[in-house]
Amino acid sequence: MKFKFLLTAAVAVALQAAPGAAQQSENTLRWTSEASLTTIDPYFNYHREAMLLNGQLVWDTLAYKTADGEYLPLLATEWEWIDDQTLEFKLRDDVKWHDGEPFTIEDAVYTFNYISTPENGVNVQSNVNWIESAEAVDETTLRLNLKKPFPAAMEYISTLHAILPDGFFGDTGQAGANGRLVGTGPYKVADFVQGDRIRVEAFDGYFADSPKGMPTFDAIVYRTIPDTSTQIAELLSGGVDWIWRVPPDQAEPMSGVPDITVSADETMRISFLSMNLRDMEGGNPMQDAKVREAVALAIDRQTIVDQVIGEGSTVINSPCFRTQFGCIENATDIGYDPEKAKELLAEAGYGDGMTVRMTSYRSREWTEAVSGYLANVGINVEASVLDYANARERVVNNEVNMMLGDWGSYGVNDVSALLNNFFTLSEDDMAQDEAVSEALLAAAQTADPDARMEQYEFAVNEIADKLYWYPMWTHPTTYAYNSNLEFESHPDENPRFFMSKWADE
Amino acid sequence: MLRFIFRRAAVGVLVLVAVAILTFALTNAAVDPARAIAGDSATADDIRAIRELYGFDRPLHIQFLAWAQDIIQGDLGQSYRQRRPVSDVVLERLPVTMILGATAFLLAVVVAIPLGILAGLKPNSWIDRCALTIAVLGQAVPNFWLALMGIVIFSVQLRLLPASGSGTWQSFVLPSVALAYYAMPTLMRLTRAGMIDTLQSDYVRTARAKGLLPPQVVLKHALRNAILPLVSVSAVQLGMMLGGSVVIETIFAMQGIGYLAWESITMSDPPVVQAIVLTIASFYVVLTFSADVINAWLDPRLRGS
Repeated sequence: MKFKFLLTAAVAVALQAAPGAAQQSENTLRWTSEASLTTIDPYFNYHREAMLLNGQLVWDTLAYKTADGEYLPLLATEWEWIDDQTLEFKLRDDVKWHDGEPFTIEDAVYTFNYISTPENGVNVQSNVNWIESAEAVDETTLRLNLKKPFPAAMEYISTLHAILPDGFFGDTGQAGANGRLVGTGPYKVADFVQGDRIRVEAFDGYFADSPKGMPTFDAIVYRTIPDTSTQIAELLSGGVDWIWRVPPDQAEPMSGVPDITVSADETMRISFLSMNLRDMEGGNPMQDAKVREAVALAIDRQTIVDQVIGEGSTVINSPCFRTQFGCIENATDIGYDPEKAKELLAEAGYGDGMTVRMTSYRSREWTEAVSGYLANVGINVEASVLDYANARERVVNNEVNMMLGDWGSYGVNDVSALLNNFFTLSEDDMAQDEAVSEALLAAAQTADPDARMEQYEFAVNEIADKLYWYPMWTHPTTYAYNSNLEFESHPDENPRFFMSKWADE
Repeated sequence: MLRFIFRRAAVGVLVLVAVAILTFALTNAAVDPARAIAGDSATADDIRAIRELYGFDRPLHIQFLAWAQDIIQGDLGQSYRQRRPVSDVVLERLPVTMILGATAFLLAVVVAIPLGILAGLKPNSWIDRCALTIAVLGQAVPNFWLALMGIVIFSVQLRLLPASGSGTWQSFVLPSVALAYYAMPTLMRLTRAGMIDTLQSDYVRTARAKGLLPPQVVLKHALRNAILPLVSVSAVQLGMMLGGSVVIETIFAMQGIGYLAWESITMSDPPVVQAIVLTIASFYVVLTFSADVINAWLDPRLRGS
């Protein structure tokens, strides 16, 4: 729930009020977000907050992915692809769990075997369903068998696959059911109230040469505050030190508040206008390439980015994020030209206008902006702004001509995490192009980078040229925090609190 | 009287059954639970597997009967998200909602009834006008606006009260006031109207003629009759505060069942949503039933045939 229209007033009033005493003196970082974390482990959650807070502060992955996309040793000292479907890791033997027990290969074997068993029902199956099994080759060598060649494996292993202690989910499937709610990470769980708060405290026994570094805070406290205005009020009144996803219309007045830093940064999440090419009851005008081009020509993306989305967002011309492996820049050169759009529509036989159905799930404002531009050239849009599950249902049931969608790729720097979800002939695939699907599937199962790149180049160009997707813009994330906090944000939307600290007083 | 009680109780049970059927049907119509559990990037196979695992592939009426049978046995099911019994999840959150609802209700009553009496004693006087203005404002101002203004003034500006949370008594001040202010006008108007009515009645004139002191006339004779309708309305108001504080609990991030409802809806956790709707419906049924019984006890005419 967001009661945004009042925020401007709130912020204006607060301009005169400096934020309260930060938790600098207690060396505690208090942050908040709207995500209600009902389980503490990173696998039975959808929330980035859970993945980041718990997955990285409390637990460690085998490797660590830096902000530049480099993999560094973490719980594993080295790794190697034995073949297309087999990965081997050499594990550290000097790491301790928070309760003092040594970290062993059984823990890693348990974790991978538990999360990859479909019956255990890890929330995001595509993060784990390419793993066949894990086994111990010897006391420190872990072998991961994949179901199929999966070149992006290290992306997931270095970000999402936190290693849990053996037996962690017990028989009940609840985190810590074995009585050991412990990790190997720089912070240990001190307090957890479902849906409300999590307090983690520095773990003194953390291994010194971890790329995450030794703990910089004595404690990090997370609280769920569902309402954006309340979050801002808490930041302004000194109740919390860090918030994110600040609405752009609030970011500007807030940047004038003393001792509050506001920064908007680009993320990997991209928006796209997805066009439905399947046969629909009563005909589907989107099957005509001229109509699709007219739609693209009608939308002034730059103005929407400047006026509606705000700082940190840029217009994209490829159906992927530029740093992702397989992405080529400027796959399309279609710009804003409403006159040409009208001509194309007339040529296609829609000179008197037409009506299409569009669904979206991110922002009513963005949806209305796009609909407005389309209305200008005579395309009347019946828009439905829904939550993701319901918007997706309309796509799956073939009920809409277009979807203004977006995808964050879970921060995975490989287009397989994006395009393979939408163009592999699944029920999410609105284009149903067999050649594109074949190329994407082949690329996802090939280890050779050049061969992969070739396949992706073909797929990305086809998607852009045939306008299955019209690429729109990147999503910004706006952070606001106490200015005494040393904090750096990255496009992968991973706040990396272990790298932050309070500035020296 | 006993027959009356049984009759009302039977109606209450029927209401609960109707609510149960509606809740189950609506939560199932709102979103496909298998798809919701499977998550953003699930494939058709994942969804199919989950559908079979949770038994969502059975016909809806069979699922309903199984669910209803469990509920009668006191088993509200398992939360999909929290992976523990729904009853634990709901019971954990009840105290905050109870405290908030009770405080707000008491606050509303303590302010509304004296104000209503004063306004009723002197209709059209300045005090009546003030009371009416307060009432009109209370009805017109949305409670979330009042809540946010409270946060801006008392948390951000004055730093007197916390902006969110439910850990300390201070956290309850702003939400209670916001909730109470919304319920107060109805109670006040009813008291005022009741007072004006009864003060003009014959028995009050008789009481005055007997030479009773004004406070005795007002409090002993007039008020007792004037507040009869308040009993029924209060029951509904209290029910509303216990069940209808979703917005207030969400704004103040209070760990009550209103906030839990919002959380469970956004996370697609139907078993919890169903349990909350049933709990709130039970509040209403019990409160209305109690109000009926109290009213019937106060006024034998209401027992009817």
